[in-house]
Amino acid sequence: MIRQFNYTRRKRIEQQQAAIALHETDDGNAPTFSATLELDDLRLPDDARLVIAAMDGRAAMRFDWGTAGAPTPPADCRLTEVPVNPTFRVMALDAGHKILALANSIRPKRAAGRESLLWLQEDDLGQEVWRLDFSQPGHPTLLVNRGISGIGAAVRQDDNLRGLVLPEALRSILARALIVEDAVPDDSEGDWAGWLGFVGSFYSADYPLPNADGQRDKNEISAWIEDAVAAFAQERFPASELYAKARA
Amino acid sequence: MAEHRVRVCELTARGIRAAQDYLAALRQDAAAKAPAGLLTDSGYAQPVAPAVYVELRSFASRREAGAYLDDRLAPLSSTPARIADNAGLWSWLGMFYLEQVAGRDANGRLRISASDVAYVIDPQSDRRGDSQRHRHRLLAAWDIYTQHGEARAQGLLSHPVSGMEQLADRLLGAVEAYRAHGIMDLANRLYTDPATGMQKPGIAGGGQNQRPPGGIVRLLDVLNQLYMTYDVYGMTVQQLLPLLPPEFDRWQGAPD
Repeated sequence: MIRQFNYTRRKRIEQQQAAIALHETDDGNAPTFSATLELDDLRLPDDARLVIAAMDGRAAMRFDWGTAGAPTPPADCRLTEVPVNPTFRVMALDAGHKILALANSIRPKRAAGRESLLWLQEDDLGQEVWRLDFSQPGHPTLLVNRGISGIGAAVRQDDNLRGLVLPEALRSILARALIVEDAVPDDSEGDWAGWLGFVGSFYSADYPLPNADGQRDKNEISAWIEDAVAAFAQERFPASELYAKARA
Repeated sequence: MAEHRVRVCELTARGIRAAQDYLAALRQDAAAKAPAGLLTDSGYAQPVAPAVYVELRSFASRREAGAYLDDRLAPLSSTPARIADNAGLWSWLGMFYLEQVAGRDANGRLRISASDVAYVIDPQSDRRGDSQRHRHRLLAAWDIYTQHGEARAQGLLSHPVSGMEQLADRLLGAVEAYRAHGIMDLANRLYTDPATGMQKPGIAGGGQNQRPPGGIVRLLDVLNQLYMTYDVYGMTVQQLLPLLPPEFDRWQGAPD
């Protein structure tokens, strides 16, 4: 994990201080968003300018949001350039464009029925049915092939497909978080806190300890992941049973 | 040299594979033939909706290609990102205009890029977050034209549509920098000769991995450092220029 030093005395905007909601439609129009900023505790100058940026790995948009003393949403909050699965950055700036406070990689809340730890997006996948996308740190997206009619609804509702996909998706997500990105299950503030907190709700076995060099054994982590996925299927999502029922 | 119009399609997964095979064959044998029906048979291509049409024609520059495609593709969506995201559409256009976009060498043979993505975007390998689709020649021309236009991308638009010079490659590949008007203005100011509207020579060094002082690679490095302190993506060219180190001074005037 790369440790970053904050030499600029920039303040950190916590996620609960910058709540962003995504408003999606099913008519093909770009989604919009709204933001509730509670920045009083940061003691920013009233005239500090607020900016919200949205990005999705291929594009980015920016929205001026008034000042710390008088937050003012713009009239047009359509995410025309980043219509799928955007994450957000919130900044407070001084008159010289120096960053006074920052929150990076904010994941928006979605409307009931759309909110999920695992984002879902239809995309061009060639001949693959599904694939995980990790371009947004800590916010994996389940990409499904948009060439398959109704697949988005099927992943949400069809236990036949969900039984095949979700345990393997969880296994890949945990491997990404714990092996590739060196996250640890008790990290409540990192990018993967949401996912690791979710796993902690049904699986609480001791996590492999680091050795004398500060490294954890990858095989032990892999075994921990396998047991966590088994617990998921046992406690939360009886994939085999659901799959069998759906096939009956 | 306008010819009859053709309804625009998007290549299917099978069509994209066939196009890639054809490109590979062309690199081996300039006389290789395209698969029959690649652009029209339903197994390879499906019409886009609503119906839009193009004519087979040449493009003298990205400017011409961008303006033409902007006009023709606009009815497809009010959301440009949805047009940009359609890999099948750009793959079909890349193959439809292959001869015009690839260009020919002194012997009259098509100059096929070593990289398929110059003409065809394969969603199997082009993943969000690690995307190379900005190297698609027509998508790049359309995107530069629609995103930035003449005012801040004069040098990029003057470039032939057939190539992907380091300036365009680096800028388009740096997602936030490319969307930032101030940074595009800055790149235009530094690297475009105002007298000719063309890119100044020497900004990229001798190859893709060169980092000449004050060149585009160094500019992106410096902006990355400044990003720790400044909102570089929201600053104007006038605000960014004073923050640049002296190595960029030589690029602020007309070329030597």
